[in-house]
Amino acid sequence: MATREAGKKMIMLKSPDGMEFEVEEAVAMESQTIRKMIEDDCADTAILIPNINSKILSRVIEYCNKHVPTTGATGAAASDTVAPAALAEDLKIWDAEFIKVNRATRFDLIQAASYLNIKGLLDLTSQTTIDTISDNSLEEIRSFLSTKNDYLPEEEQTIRRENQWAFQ
Amino acid sequence: MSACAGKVSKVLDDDDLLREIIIRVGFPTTLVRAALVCKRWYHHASEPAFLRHFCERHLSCLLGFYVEDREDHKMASIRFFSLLNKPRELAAIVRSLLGYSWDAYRSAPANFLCSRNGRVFISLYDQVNRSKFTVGAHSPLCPERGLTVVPPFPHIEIQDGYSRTMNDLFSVDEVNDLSLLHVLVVSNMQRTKSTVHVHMWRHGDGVWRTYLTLDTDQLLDPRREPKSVLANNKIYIASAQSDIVVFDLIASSISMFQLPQGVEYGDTDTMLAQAQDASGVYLIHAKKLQLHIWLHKGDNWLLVDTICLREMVANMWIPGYRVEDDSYAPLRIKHVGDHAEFMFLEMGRCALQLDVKCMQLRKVYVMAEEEVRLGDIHPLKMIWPPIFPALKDNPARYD
Repeated sequence: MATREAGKKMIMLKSPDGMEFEVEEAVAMESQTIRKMIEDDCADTAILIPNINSKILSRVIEYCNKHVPTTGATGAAASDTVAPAALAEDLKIWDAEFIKVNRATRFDLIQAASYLNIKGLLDLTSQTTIDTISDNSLEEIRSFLSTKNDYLPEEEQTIRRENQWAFQ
Repeated sequence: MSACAGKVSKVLDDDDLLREIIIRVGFPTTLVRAALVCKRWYHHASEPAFLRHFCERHLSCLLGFYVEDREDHKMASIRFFSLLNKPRELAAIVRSLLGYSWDAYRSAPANFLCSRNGRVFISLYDQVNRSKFTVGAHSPLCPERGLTVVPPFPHIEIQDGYSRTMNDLFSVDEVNDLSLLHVLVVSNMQRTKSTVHVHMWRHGDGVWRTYLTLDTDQLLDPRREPKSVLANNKIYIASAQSDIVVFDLIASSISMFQLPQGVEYGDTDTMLAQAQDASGVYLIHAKKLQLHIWLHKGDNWLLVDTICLREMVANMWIPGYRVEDDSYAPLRIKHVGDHAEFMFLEMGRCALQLDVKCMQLRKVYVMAEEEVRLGDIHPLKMIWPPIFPALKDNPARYD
């Protein structure tokens, strides 16, 4: 707490279900949406984050905490001695653990990452959806994404024929 | 479970979010699969603005490269090498590329012309009359398409006292289509008079058509190296010691400009490349371990990039290269991609690939002991863009 009071500006984030989260400004600014609010001076007291419940918001903050650049943070002395490649590797492992959530949570996180404009989190959360597209048959993708096939058989055939190289 | 479906559709029903997700698929192949999920996805994936964005984000997907080995002016072999680190999504494509047979050209007077949009063009010359040739357009990415054989080139009478000074083929960039341009330059002995014959062949045509014929008294002394480049309806031809001659196909004119001050054509140390800008051409010049990238725009040369390879090379094991002696294994430019996005270089007994945007250099080929020289390198890129045919019940987008 001492270091925080010594130099770090804190920001209050509020979820619609009434929870409040005190976050370092630098961490909150991982979100481009919040950064813009802060830069435009719209964030004097607490920032209400609509549509994102406390459970998801706390996970988003956890992500930003981990991904905020380490310079000047509490672990600065330690991170100076860690090579950037090793640091990136550590983040990758952490991300892989972080994203081990159920599908509903993942889609909540996609929505939150998009609203808060956190590119890294959007990349991470979208990736599994993208992997689904690469790895499964079309029928499986559609059922996984609860999407209905509205193609006429001949339409689907034409697209496949024109782009045969993509279906080998 | 239905709550989950609700959350999924909340995300996927949002057009912006859906685009955000689809754009993250890394390969054109996956994009086509995504487009097949349903029509809404198809319309997002096929939107021109989205495709441009996709292209910027993922660059051009370089699948690999061909090494064309030659022996006594004949084709000895064409070998494919994959450049994909994680080929999981493209494993089938790489398999089919590796399995594609080029044996028909072995020991034939054939030239690997270029590869463009998934097609590979090979020209086959008449042994006796070098102005007679046929071209085969192969689709190694999609062998079902078979081989397209371009009709033989028409005979052109060459006046007495004239001889060929240039005989070149270019593939023309046209979406979903293939056409070729042939440029033949004949000059008199004194090289004071020349005639430029440009012919064009379009896919589906049974014959080559005359595109334009130009007489010129401008000294034309075209070089074989570096290769000429067709960009935005202009053909840039390296000429003499330090000139570039431009055939403007639209204006039917010939003009000339000089290389940047102090630059001359040397031993495979210069290369021309198409610029993304409609009016320009790139010149890449290697000097010791430095690469200079110049852009010719308007009437000026602009030095847009200088890349020093010394440090990158120091961390690599390059047979035949000694850090303390650059001249021992000079840097040669084997190929420059469109827009100078990537290059293939030769150093020592290796081929190196330089990704200009990411500034990454990697060793992609090491010559075997029995190889005397490194063959020509022809990169192969993924087909782009995919073909998105108009769907009947959605006239709004295709009117």
